[in-house]
Amino acid sequence: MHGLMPALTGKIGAAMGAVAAIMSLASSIPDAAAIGSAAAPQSTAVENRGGNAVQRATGGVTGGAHDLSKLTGRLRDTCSACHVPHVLGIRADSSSRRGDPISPSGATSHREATGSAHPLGEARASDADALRDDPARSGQVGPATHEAELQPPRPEDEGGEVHSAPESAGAGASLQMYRIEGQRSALSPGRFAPGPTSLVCLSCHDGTVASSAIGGAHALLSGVRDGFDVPDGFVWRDHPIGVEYPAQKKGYVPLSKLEAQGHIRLPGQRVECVSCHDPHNAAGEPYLLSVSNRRSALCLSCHVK
Amino acid sequence: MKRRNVETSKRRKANRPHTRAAGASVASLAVAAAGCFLIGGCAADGGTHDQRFVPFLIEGPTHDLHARVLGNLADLIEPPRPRPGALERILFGDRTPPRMRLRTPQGLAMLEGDLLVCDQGRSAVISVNLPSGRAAFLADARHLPDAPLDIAVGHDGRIFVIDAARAAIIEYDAARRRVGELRVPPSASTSSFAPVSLALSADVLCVGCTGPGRVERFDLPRREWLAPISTGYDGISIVAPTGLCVAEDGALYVVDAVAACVHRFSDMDVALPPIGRPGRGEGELLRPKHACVTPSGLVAVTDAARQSVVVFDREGRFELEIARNEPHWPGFTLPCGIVRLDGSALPQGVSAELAPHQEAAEYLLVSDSLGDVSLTLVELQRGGEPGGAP
Repeated sequence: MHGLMPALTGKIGAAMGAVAAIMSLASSIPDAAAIGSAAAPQSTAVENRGGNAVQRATGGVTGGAHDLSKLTGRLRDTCSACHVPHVLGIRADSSSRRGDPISPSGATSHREATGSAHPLGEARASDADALRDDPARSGQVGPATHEAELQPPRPEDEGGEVHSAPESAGAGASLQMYRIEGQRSALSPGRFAPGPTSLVCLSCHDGTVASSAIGGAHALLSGVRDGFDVPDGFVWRDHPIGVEYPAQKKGYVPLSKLEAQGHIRLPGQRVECVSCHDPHNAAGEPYLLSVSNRRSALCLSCHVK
Repeated sequence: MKRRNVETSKRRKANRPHTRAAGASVASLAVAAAGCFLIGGCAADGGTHDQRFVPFLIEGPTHDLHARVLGNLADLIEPPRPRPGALERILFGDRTPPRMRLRTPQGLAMLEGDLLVCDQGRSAVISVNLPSGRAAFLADARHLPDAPLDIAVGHDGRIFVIDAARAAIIEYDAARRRVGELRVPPSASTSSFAPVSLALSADVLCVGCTGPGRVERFDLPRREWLAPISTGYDGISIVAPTGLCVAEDGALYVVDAVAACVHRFSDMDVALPPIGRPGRGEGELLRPKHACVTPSGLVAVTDAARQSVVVFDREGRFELEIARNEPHWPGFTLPCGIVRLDGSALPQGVSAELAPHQEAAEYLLVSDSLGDVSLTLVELQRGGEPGGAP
């Protein structure tokens, strides 16, 4: 008990410090504050457990595990952990800012353009932000105006995932502000192929930039080189990704019910990282879970036990 | 339920080299299986594919530098087919023993004729003798790293491996015996020490660390940590140094996956202007992972988000990008490690095939942690078309 009190005091102090730091960051960067307030309530505490950032309280991107602006000091990195803005288009839109995609002025330009086209505040992984072919390579980037640069979504040539633009985008509903290159179909299509959304996660979560989903607790991908196929009812170490959701099988919640629940995303009807984790942490759950796993609620979203 | 647990346990054990090699005979089988992993390439469906990769050419915008993607190194190597041992014959009869492939290869290094591959998915460093095609685990099963990320080799044959699971740097001697671990530098706390990349500059081991980003340096002869490097040119912070390499002139290159550039430092620790900047245009980077510098001064950077290898000249000017080239090649999925190969280190079959062009060319080997092809061999050459017609 004697040891507990100082420890508790220390933790409370650390939490208060984190709150103060985040509040300070948000107030000192107007854009970040705007993004945070619109995207989700400000997070109130971030702790680090063995390299895994665990965001608590009310969630949101700003100040959370995926807010890389904390590390770089660059505003644009609030989102650039996963999203890539059309830096070329933005530069073309404003000659005074040409050539400096990472400058604060560039960020302002982005925000102005964002205001009508892609409200950051309502960003979610299912938004139009996600997964398109590289605009630079497809020749879509570089027209004289930003409006012309923003093209309607194109069907995926690979990866099989098409994300529609958010309805909240208003008049520019077909516009997409952010793109991440359409990723390749990995390994064996139809068997065990992490989809585009998961590859975006794995580009960092391979133990280098962020905690590993390969050799760590998940160990999701250990078997893929051996042509690993998930046998019926077999759970590979932890939980596989890139596998089709077995909606027709006994023991699984029907797809229609799952969609009605709304918190389990199945891109291309496959289980991917974003099925259990929300990179924007809207729910404010530990480990960025898409929904609380209290009393196995997250597990029971899919599994009938 | 009980049956499933047993099955799960068996599956876990089967995929842990630690347990597989518990007995001497089983260890020999594991090594034999490792030797076979190069045989059929990396067919994703677990079967073999006999279609030989057709090399093709990529030209830079200036048409001065050319790259030729030669294909999967595993496909190009003619592996030995040793007579199966008694144990293999008992276990498999006339059937071919199960092949072992790279799962999630990341950091690469060369030690004389051996290619060392950090395979995090297999929890092992795999040593491939390129001329012969033989492969084996780097160390005995008790001393394998859990999650090897990157590897560096000293002039004296010492090997250093980052184990991400334990946030440690494992040291092996020239005989590939584990001799210890490097401790946490005084500038870092135990919880914040997250090594992710390695390089050796003379007798100094450079260790890229995340959270907070910096490059720690360890003086090997004196066995002490030196002052870390945390900022680059013009005070730019190092954020996520996922790759390090040292050029022949002693310059240190620090690949920063989050800052999306390559910091440069001279051999006198003077920060030089970085290479690349964030973006999707020519010469821009998104999620660079590793880099290597060729003898001619070309800087090749793997980029997981661009799914390509971006090549710069020694001044940091963009030269070319090695990326998807339909219909010849689907491209990289998550390219990660990269290492330069001497022409003499290439497998015998490859050397013979490329002999007329070998002297003028430089070779790169790229690991793809999730692609169909785990080790892609690329040839770079200035001037005329490398390697003849694609």
